[in-house]
Amino acid sequence: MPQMNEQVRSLDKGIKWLLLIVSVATLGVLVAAALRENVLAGWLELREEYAAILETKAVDARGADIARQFDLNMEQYFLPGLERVDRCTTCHAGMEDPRMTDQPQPFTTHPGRYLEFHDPAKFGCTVCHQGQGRATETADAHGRVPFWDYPMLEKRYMKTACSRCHSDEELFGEERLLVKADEPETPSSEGQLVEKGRDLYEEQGCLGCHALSGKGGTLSLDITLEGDKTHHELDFSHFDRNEPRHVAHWHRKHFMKPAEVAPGTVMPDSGPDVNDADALTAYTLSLHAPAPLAYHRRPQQGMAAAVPGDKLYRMYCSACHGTDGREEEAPGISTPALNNFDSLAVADDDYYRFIIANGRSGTNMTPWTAGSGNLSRTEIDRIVAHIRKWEPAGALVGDVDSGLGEKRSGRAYYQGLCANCHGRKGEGGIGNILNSNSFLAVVSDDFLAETIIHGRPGTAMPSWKHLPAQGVSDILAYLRAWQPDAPAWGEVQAAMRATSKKENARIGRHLFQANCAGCHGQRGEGGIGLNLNSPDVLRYVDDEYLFRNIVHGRPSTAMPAWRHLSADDTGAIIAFVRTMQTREPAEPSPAPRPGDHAVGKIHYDISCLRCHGENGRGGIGPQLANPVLLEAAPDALLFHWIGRGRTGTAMKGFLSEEQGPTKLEPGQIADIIAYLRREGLVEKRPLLRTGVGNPTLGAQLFNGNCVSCHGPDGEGSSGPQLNNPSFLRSASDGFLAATLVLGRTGTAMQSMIHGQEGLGQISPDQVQDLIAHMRLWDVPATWRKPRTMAELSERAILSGGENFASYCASCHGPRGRGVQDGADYFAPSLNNPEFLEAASDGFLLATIARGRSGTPMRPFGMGTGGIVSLPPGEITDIVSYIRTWQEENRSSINRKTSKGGSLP
Amino acid sequence: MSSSGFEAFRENIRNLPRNLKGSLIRHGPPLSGRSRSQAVFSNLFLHVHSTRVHTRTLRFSATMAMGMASLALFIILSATGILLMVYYKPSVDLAYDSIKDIHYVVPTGRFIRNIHRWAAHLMVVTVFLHICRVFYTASYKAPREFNWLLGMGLFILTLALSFSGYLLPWDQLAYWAITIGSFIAASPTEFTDALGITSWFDPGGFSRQLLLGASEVGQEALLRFYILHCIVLPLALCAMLGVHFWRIRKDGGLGRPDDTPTTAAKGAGSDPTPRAPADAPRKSYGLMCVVRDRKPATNQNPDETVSSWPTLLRAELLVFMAVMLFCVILGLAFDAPLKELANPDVPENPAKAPWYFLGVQEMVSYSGFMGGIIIPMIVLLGLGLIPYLDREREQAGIYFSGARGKVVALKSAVFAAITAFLAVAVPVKYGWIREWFPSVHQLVVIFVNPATLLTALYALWSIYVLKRARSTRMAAIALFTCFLVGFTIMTIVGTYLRGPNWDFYWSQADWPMH
Repeated sequence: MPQMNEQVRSLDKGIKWLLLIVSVATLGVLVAAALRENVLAGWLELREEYAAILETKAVDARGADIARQFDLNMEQYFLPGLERVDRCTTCHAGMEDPRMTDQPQPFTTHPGRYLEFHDPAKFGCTVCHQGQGRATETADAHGRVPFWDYPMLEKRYMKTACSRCHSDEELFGEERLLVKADEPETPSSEGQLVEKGRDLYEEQGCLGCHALSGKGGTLSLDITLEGDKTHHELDFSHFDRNEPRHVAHWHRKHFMKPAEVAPGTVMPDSGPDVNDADALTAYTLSLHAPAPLAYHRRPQQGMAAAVPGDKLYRMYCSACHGTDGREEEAPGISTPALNNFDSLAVADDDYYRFIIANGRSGTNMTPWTAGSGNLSRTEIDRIVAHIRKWEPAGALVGDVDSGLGEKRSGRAYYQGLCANCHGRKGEGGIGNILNSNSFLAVVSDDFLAETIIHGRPGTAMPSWKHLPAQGVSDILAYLRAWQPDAPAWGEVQAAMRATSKKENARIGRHLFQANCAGCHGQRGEGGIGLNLNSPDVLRYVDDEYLFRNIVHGRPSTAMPAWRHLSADDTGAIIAFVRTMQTREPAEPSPAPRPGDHAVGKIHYDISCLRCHGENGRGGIGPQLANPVLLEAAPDALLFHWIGRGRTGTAMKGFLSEEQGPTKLEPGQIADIIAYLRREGLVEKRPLLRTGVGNPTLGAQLFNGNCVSCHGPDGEGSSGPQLNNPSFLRSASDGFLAATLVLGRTGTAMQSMIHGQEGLGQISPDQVQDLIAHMRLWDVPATWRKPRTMAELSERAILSGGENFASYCASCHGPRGRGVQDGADYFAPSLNNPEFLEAASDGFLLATIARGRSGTPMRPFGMGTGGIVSLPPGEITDIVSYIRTWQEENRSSINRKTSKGGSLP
Repeated sequence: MSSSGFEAFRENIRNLPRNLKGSLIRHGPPLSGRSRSQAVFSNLFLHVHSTRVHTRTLRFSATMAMGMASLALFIILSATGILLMVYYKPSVDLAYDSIKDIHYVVPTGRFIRNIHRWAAHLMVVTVFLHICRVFYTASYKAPREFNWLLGMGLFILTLALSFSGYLLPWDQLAYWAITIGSFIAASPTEFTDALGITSWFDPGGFSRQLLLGASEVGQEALLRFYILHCIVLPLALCAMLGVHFWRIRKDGGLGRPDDTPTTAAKGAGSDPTPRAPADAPRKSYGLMCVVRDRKPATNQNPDETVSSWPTLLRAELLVFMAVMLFCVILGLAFDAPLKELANPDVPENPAKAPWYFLGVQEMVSYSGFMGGIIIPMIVLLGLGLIPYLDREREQAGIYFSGARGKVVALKSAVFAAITAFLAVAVPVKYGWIREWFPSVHQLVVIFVNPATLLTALYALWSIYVLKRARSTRMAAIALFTCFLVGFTIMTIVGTYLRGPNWDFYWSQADWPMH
């Protein structure tokens, strides 16, 4: 034994002892680890407990079998298709055993009939319940631990998992699977909660800012997979330290108090009802990525039903624009009120379509076409139609009558609403000249009423649908007051007596040729107008009849009211017309008896309707239901014309001794007259006499005579737009014919008739051809065809720029940048390519002149009570100035329009 | 013959245990000094030990047992690592789930993983402390310079092993730590960007690409890290470890003071016999043990050495078992972290590298290129060159080489702590060049940052000490202490005082909640 000194010996001894202690301790720890893992494991104890329960339940042979076959091993569902392993049944061992309903958790039977439809061997547990399937310790397995992203769903959000495998159609469609599975069914039961959440999403317009499955706004996040988000993806920084970091809690609080969770957000809160926030949370949590197709009940099929416009509006627009189009709900987003009669009056459908499809850059209005909001063309159209519904229907044209109008209130209306464009005295400006004698003579009340009430889309003439019929009548009365008062019958008689018949006829001849021959022919042989030299006309009518027809015209036909002729002139014309009379005057034989209008209708329909049209609206033959005709012509005259016919025209006599197409008894003719006179039949709108002219010839005539002013397709250039559907709707053939024949004094429109003093070389026969051609424009060929009316001259731009700086820039910002440049300018941005493209000059002119009620936009037209009164010329200059921005943005507009033009 | 053959067979059976033992252990029971020596040198696994060992070596204070503890941890890591490999699947789809299964289902899987995790962290600590011990006892000096270099290599390999293992669980912690690590690897790009030559010379991008095999951390990176962690790095470490141990023996065992008193040499010391010439071998090699003098003294322990068997082996076993105990207790008491499944879309904030790189990450926050590449390289180069630049003959085995060294170390520590504190505090409080001169060139920001300034200050301080003390050893102590303290402070700052967006927070409770 080698020596070892003491020091080393004690060191060695210490080492020995320490080694022993350390080794024993290591062994002890290892044993402890083994015990903890294999004997004291929590799940093992539960399995043992369950084995004992099975023993007590083993009352029959089958029960005993189950108890015997039960072992203490871990159980799991291995689900490679779902990339899951669920070991839940290790503890929840009685889940599938119907005898365990009386047992406490974790052994109790799964409630409901879910397992019948969802085989656990195929679906496992966590695909519905969430939690950590692989874990074997309670807290870990339930996922309520720091590092597991998907904790078990709370009971009230249980049904948010169904959407993983079930389609929307199955869950929310006819079948209502979600609600069907509720037990018991209460308004706050899990399924109904999700369903209500979905309804709220649509009602509250959530999709106006958020896109869901490819559709919806782009202002905020896409929420298609919002339910899969973990708490890491949500911002909890504004929560209290002791608040739970749960996804559901975040959503719930965010719905109730958005600004507390995300300061600066413009998201509106979900209102005072906590249940609403719960429902929204539930639906949000149900927005999952779908599970593999093998787990779906059936693949999604068919197309979703077309969503109506009002629902589309609520889904995508209402959050910003308000449910009824009055901005209300989003305090942080400034949006124009859509439900404003001024803007509805000024903007046409194309304007809305374009803005919806292309958005308004620099504002919160995003494009809604493919690639952004992903709404289809038809869906946008449906939304536009819904917006249009807010517009008042407008007074009925039939209810308007200048005769019922009150001139003084009409004047007030006119000065307030019309003078800013049409001039204080109707001398014209932005709008057409109104106080033109020939215009007022030709234009019917219907035409004016139609134009006032419905406006003329695409031009500066807005609609005035909020005016009552009486108001329109008042305006008409005021307009009519510009026409000189017609001379009284007595005055004309006196004038006729004052001069010799011969002298009168001489003067009358000149007047006739200047004013009447265009329609009635040089010698009264007729044309557009009546053949005055017919032996059956002048013979039976007296001078007063002629007088009334000249002075009042025939409304809606080409016969204008010649009120501006003096008593002398009128008398002279009557005298000249009398010279055409070839036969002695005669009294027409009166009708044998008063007629019965009901019977008369039958006879009318059989004998007259083919030429004179339904209800006497006119067809090949003239309009019978014309107030002036019916007023001027006594029954005897009508009886005579019906009975004997009118020589030189297609009108044959209907009495048995004449050669008419059918035979009528005198009594029957009386019935027809009664029918024509019946109250209410007086239909003022004549039927459009289509088919009378030849449109092909008319097109040649139009190209030869009209294109230089009205443009190749009547879209207008220096002359007004003719192919405007609204104009064509309100203008009768008579109006067109008379305007063509007479021209319009005070404007560049000259008489177009060959031989008159005008420029045109059209014969009276060809007028109908021209009209037929114009009628073919009725449907505009292109979606939109903006026409530039404003003058882009240096002078106009300069003057417009000055006025813009003085009057507009304080709200819209210098150069119209509006809210884009900062908080100082609260008005919408005008210098915005999409807006400039969508808004026609008319839109701009009308808005400037008219203002927009309910907003700070004041009217700027003359006499409208705005801040300043700008003469019409200066308003058009402002528009010219605004248009210069468009030139600068041209490249981006081209891009946008080509995008807008290629909509599906 | 047959009977005697049968006898012989019976005899053989009777002697079987003895013969087996005799063939296994070719010498008698290790009772005498000779047989004990034999037990060591004739055993493949033990013969790396010298047969006799100085009693000083056995004392805890001589080594702090850190080297042995590191080896013990490596063995524990290898054993647990192999067990984990049985269940681990290196695929991004399966890795996380396989860890979950190891945690919840594999028998003792959780325990083994816990031990592996904590042992890995511990090994970084013990290797680092081992380096400190070797440095402060001047044990790196000739003839042990090369072994010091090997030690440096082993340190780097240890870090690489730990880092490569970090990714394998494929959880958020792993994913983002490796992402940060890969950005540190790519930090030369910052420099090449500032020079504008990245498009045709991009060493940063290349090293990141090499590390990840893709532009992002993904399946390629996972497989690379798995191979590195399980095959390449352990083999490299084993090989280097072998050389390291072999060199310990060849360089004369543990460094110890020249004047270690030896009772055995008491008489011999005064022996008038002339000493051997200076160039004669300092040790004469006897058959089995080192004898310090020329005349063999029998039955005496030469140079106060004791036989390695069993004393040293027992001490080593004690260290091993102590480390083992520590690991199993940690493994039983604390679960290894496992965060959520790696999600490239949800960055951790703050995303932190493994703690031992947080000092580097702190410096990287000033400048990726300087803090992540240049300064660590300067430090490693400096550490490696210490034995060649400081060649003063010093007694090994004395902490701080005496009282003077202690004072230098203390002063250096104070200096380093103050300057490191300022380097962190000034930018936190007042911002740095980019905030002061927003238009300055990026190169200035790269080169003039707190980390480079700190490095320069430490270098200046060591030059100052070199001048004052006129001793390269003192200068080395000053420099090493400075870097030790500075790096520790940086690591602590990076670990505890940096929150989301690498902003400064006094405690995690002040972090903005998210």
